[in-house]
Amino acid sequence: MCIAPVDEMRKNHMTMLLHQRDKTVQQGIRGQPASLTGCIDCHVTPDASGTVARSDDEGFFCTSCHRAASVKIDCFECHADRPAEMISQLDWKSLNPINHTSLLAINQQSFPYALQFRLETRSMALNQ
Amino acid sequence: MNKIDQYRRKFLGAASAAFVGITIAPGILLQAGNAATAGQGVSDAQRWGLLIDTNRCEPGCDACVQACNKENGLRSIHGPKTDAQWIRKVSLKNRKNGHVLNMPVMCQHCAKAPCVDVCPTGASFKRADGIVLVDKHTCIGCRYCMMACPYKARSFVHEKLTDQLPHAPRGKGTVESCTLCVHKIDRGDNTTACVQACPHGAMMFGDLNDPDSAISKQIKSLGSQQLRKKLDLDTGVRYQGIPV
Repeated sequence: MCIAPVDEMRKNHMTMLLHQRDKTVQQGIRGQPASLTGCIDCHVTPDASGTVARSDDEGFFCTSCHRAASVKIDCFECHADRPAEMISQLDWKSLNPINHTSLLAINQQSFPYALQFRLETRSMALNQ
Repeated sequence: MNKIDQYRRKFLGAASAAFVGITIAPGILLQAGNAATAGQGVSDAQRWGLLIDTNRCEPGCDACVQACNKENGLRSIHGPKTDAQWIRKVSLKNRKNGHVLNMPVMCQHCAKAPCVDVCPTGASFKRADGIVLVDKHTCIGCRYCMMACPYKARSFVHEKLTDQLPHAPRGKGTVESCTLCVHKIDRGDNTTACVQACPHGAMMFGDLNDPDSAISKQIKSLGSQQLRKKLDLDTGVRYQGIPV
């Protein structure tokens, strides 16, 4: 069961989401009926073979209407287009973990801001 | 009594009433910690912060960094020059006596945040409970905040991303940094991924406004330092064991 009748959702879902996104990000109001995560949890489900449509696919719930209506949204450039359980099944280690050894070398040698930070803290230590 | 006096009397009366309200109702303030889930916004009754004991932080250990990457779905794409980095391990050596300081450095969640001052669109903002965030809906990717941050805490997303986590949306063309695991705080977890992961007990999360919280008691007994204190930013991330 959706949070509102189909007619209302078709007409107003974008207003609901826009209104709620600012409240969530800026005021920390969560768990409200209108939420993009809520949409995804219900409307993105695996088919018989266990695969789900991704946001670029014609079969994706949002895309199927937006293509017909010539609407281009960019929600899924940042937001997950699958429920959390499906993403948590991915092997995190295999997805290019960040190489910390080389990051450490860069932070400590080449970046001027890191250097400035080091110098200042060191001078504080020396003045002790 | 003239009009101004009447006004002042009314104001002082209201102010003292409010003061009494605060002192007799600590239970109500405590409950506000999980108000975010109950449909109310967060309030400035809390100020979330971290306390890092540099004497316990071990060299070569990056458990907090790994936990942060996993919690927020940060991955390497084009190598270390452009990869996002929300926590860095920093080592400082005193050349005079050879003493080495180790500590994680992340967004310091300043009360007077330079990144918020310089943002031209209002995307970089401070939430009422002291967490400094980027509203990526309004971020235009100008990177002024990255220039302004004295801790180099922010990263820019250069590449198109896939497989972001639902609680941590991230995308190309926006700036991002440590969110103090805001999704966990709003859920009522009362901790962050890095604090949970630290195997040496060097990190502590808590409410700096609550004098009875563990973090406030620890700061009260042993004191705390801010990185680059002379900038007077009133950071929410505090350190112990740094020479003042």
